[in-house]
Amino acid sequence: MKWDAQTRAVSVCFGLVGLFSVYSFRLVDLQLAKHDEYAARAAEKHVQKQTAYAKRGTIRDVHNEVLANNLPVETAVGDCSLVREPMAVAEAIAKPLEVDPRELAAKLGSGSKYVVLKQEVAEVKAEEIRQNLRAAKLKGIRFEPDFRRIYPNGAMLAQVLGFVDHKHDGVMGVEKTMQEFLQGENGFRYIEIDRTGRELVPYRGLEKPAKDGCDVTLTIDLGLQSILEQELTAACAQYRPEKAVAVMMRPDTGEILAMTSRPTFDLNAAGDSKPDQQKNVAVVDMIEPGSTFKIVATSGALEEKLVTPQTTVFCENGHFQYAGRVLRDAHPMGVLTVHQILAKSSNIGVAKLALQLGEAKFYEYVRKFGFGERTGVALTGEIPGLVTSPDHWSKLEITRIPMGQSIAVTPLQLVMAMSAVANGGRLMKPLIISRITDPDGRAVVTFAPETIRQVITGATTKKVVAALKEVVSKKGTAQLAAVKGFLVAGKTGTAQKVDPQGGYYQGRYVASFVGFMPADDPRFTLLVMLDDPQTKPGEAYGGTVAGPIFARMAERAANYLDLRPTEPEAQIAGSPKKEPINAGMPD
Amino acid sequence: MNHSARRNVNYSIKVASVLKVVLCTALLAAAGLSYVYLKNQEQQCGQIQRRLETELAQLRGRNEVVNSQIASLSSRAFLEKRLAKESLGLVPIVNDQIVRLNQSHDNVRDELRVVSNRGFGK
Repeated sequence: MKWDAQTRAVSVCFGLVGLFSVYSFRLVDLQLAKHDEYAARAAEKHVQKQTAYAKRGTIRDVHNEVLANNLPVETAVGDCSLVREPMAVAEAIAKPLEVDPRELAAKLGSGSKYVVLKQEVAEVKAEEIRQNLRAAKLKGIRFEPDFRRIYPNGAMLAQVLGFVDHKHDGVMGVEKTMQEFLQGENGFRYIEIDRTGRELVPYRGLEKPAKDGCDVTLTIDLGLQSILEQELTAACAQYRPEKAVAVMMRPDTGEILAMTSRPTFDLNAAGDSKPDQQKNVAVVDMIEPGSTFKIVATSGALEEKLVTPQTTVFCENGHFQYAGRVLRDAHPMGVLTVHQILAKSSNIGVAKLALQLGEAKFYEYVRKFGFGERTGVALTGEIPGLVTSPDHWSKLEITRIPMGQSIAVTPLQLVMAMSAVANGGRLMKPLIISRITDPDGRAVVTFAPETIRQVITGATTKKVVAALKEVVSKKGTAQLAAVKGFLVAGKTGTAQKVDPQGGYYQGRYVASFVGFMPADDPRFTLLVMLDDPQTKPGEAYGGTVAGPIFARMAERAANYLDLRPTEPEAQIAGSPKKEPINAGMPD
Repeated sequence: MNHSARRNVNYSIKVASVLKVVLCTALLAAAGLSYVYLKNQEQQCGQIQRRLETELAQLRGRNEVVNSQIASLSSRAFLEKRLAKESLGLVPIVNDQIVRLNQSHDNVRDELRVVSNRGFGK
């Protein structure tokens, strides 16, 4: 074949067409057929999903005092693919991070693109490290924003607030129950980075801003909380009880104003605490209430009009044989009025009132006062207590339950029941959360007082209150609970401590006092309970141990709330400083 | 090619055509350079935006740190500790140390009292 000019031109053309066809085919293959695969590989190298962290909401008291908030910190992260000299980088950051440089160098030499070097680095130190790295022209270390939950009041309100875990999720208390509102929602942003790891801002992709958590305002008043904390701490130092609890509530709304338990712990060092310290005794523990429970049978008998406050009951001179067992009073008593049964805390008298009511009716009142069911307070671990139905009662129970034995209740249930007596017979739902507001301050949820049921009528409560006032008088068991200038209504309780092995401990008691003040227009209900206080033998009574603590707390609370004294001092039944200890009945 | 034909060839430069080419090339070059310039500007603005965002985040972070310090330093627990440490001798006021004055309910509003202005300006 002769290679003339035309043949050569045609050959070159064909060659070029063939070559370009191959290129075109490859181009189509890359751009269309394998587009997704290569785009994904490119994105893997250059596109990152950056998380925008939401701030956890703040918890405040009713006067907006901060109870829990966030301290911004940073997490030091290494990208080993950008680190050329691991040892040099490690030495530059080891001192401010307070980590061994060899340990850091080992992490940075691992080849991973994401190595956490240290968490909770303070902002100041993070900035110092950034400057060190810039000065030394070292790359591969970055900081991710994070926060540490802090509790400015330390141990105050510890069991109520609760704490968060390392993922910032609530573990207990309000931190857990309000997790849904507090946590917020993290956002994200897709970014492209160049080969040095710098963001290419014009190529930002899909973006969703973080939604910060809502702020939670409690019904707790930190001023009152502080009073309860101080007085309970002092009482624990004096009596060294196994456990102690104090709860203050506004009886007409069910708002919890203060709540504290012992033993307790520092929320800022929650990891060092023991399970017993973390337990909110007010809702998690159940106790036999003792004589404080006598309000139930008395209220029931008065409500059913089986008796009047002046009806007399023979109290068998302290020795009542029933169902083959003997029921005793602390002191032999003869004929008492219903009024006096409460004031002098007669076991036999209240057992006879319950017998008049009958098992079914008495059980109905126990349940109507809220015992045996959870109150529904927004706190973790609440238990319903232990109330068995009359089908499971022996013949003896009808005489034991009215005086607070053979039944287990939570301290909060006891406060709710006493608040129902204080507010005219309405059992309220306890409130610990006042409102939830979004980060702009708009109310998301507002919790209004809620009446669960009318337990007894207002007329009956007046009769019960009159008797409860006498408890805190010279004739009653709790004259040491009296507060100068105010009429106090309340009930003492001295329950034998239950032995988990069966029966009761000898000489070990749960001493309590639950009352409200001022008696005729109550501003607060307050329960003080000490489990196994260490006293001289025969002194571990509710009236002598819990009563004075109640009085101190109530007096300080009255000053704090600026309550005007309702009574001239002369009319006050007892004064803790003037009267001999336990001049009334022991209970 | 014969001599007469060579003589007829016009070797003069067609200025108009050259200008057209130069203009087109210049326009294309300007467009290209503008594109590159704008891209660079975009990158620079992006970096400035990034830096400002970082600064803003740092400022907000510092603000939060200061806020949490204020919360800690003004917390009830801290103030009570401080009070005890400084031994200021402050004690809670007990009820019998309080004297309450009966408030008059006739004139509770805090109004301007005209009588105090009488003679003003004379």
